Parts: sequence; C-alpha cells; structure tokens
Amino acid sequence: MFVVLIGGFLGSGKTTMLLELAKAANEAGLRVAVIVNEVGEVGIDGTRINAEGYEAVELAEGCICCSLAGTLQNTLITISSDFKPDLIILEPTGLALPHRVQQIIRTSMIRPEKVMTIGVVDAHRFEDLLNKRRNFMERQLMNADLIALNKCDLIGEAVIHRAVDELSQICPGREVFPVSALTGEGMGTIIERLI
Amino acid sequence: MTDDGSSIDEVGAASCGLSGMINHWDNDKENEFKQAMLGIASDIAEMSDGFFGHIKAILTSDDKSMSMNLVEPSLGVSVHGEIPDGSCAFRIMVAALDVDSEYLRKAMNKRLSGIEGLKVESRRSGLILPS
Repeated sequence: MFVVLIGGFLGSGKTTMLLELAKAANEAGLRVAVIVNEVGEVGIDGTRINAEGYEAVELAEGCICCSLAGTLQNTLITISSDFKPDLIILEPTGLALPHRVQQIIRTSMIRPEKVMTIGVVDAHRFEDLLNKRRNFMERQLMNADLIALNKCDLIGEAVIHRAVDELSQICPGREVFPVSALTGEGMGTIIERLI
Repeated sequence: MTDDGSSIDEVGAASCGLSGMINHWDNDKENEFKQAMLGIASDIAEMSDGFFGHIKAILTSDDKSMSMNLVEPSLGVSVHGEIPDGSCAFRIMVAALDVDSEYLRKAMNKRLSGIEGLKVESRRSGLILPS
C-alpha cells in the first residue's frame, strides 16, 4: 500500500490534483481510498470526492497535523483494515504542516510501502503568498518529495520560470513540475511517479 | 521556529463554516450565492489587506452536487457540477489569513442573509464517514 500526501496552502488546487491522481490510479486498476481534512467546521470536499465515485473519509472540525492527529491515526488504521486500499490519498487542510502529517503516518502502524508527499503551490498567487508568509510556505514544503507548481495555465512562461527558480532555492534538490491539475497539463509526469 | 502548537495559530489564520437550506434554487440563486462569496472575500480583503484564503461551498439536492470555489476574487467563482432547481442543502466554509473567526462568521452571515429563502441551520457538521 502507498500513501500519497498532498500538501499546500489554501486554494492551491490540492483537491483538483487529488481527483486527477485518484482517476489515474483507478484507471490503472488500483483500489483507492481518500482522506480529506477541512479546517472550517463543515466538510465540503468529501461530498465532491464521493460524488466522483471514490471512497472518501472527511475529517472536519480540526487540523490533522495538530488537533486531529489521533483521529487521523485511527482513520488510517480503519481504512487499511476494512477497505484494504492499494493507495491512500491524503489531503490535509491548506493550513496544515505536511511534515507533521508524515510523522503521524509513520507512527500509525499501517506500515505503507511508500509515502510520497507532493507540495502543491499556486503559481498564480505564488509571489504574493511568498511576500505575505514566506516562512510558513517554506515550512509547508519541508520534506516534500516533489513540488507541483499548479495553475500554470493562468500565468505566462516568464512567471513560471521565476517561480521554478525560487522554489528550487526554497526546496533544494527537489524537482519542481509546472502543471495544471485543472487542464491535466504536465500531470503525466507526476502520475508516472505514483503508479 | 518550534514545531509545537497549532499550525493555524502559527500562520495567523482563521476559519468558519456554516450549513443550511436554500428554497427555490435556480440560476438567479446561483448568481446570488456567487455574489455572496465574492462579498465575503471583499469584506476579508478590506480587513486584512488582501484576500489570502479560500471560500468553498457544496450544494446538494436529489443525489446531485455542485461545488463552488473562490480563491482569487479577480478570477471569480468556479463551479463544478449541477443541481436541479428546487430546494437544496448547502455547506460553506471560509479560511483566510489575518482575520479572526468571529469576523468571518459575521461576514458570512451578512452576505448570505441577502439571499432570499436561505436558512442557516447549523454551524457544525462534524465527522462525515462514508456509508
């Protein structure tokens, strides 16, 4: 069993990417389970993901990297034993720190063969967010295995190059993939890493 | 930087969620709902020097669902899916930087209260598990 963790700031396109990855994994014959976490007291994305035909558990009213850490561990164990997925895709809130979630997965006793963390960055708002909360963005991208510079369909080549250069400095040694989860552009390379 | 405490507190963000029902849902109500989301973003931007967050909603009726997302106000509200005209249930959540949850709640109530036939039923939905 693999676990894919999709981290990134509010509105970076994590759920759209999740649906693209789930679709590709499903088409490859993998049994996919999804865990989504909402910070805003009511669940939204679980309904959408269920409507797309995937098994989704939605954890609302808290953040899985801090207040709901125990709930996440229990959910991982329950899904692993009851549903027996080949792949669990986990989407924390846009205010979570994914390296903390990695630690929770490691100590959850589900023993995945591999945990892959994708750091999703909104290319359209990248420079503004960097100016506003650089330190938090850097912490969100800590320990990501790869960076998906998302929403590249909304910006020009020059802005994409600047963002890729900046992200390469923030996350040295990590590959940065310009993609659009909405149009599917560039997603093939990320899907290849997963399946 | 320590790794203790809440990441939400660390980044200086807040969130709020509401749920309820809307009567007589149709294209006009859809536009009103979009305008309410843009209004909430505008209120947040006024308070916090720009809107850095996410407003998302899901509307459900007769096993159909429609999701709405607002991240960058200049790009408008994106819509996914369709629901039939009539009554529908809704859930909406807002999370943003540099505001407190009480301000978010007031902004949401103010903007949503302008939609005729919309009734807020509950602030919390809790843990939702698949059937």
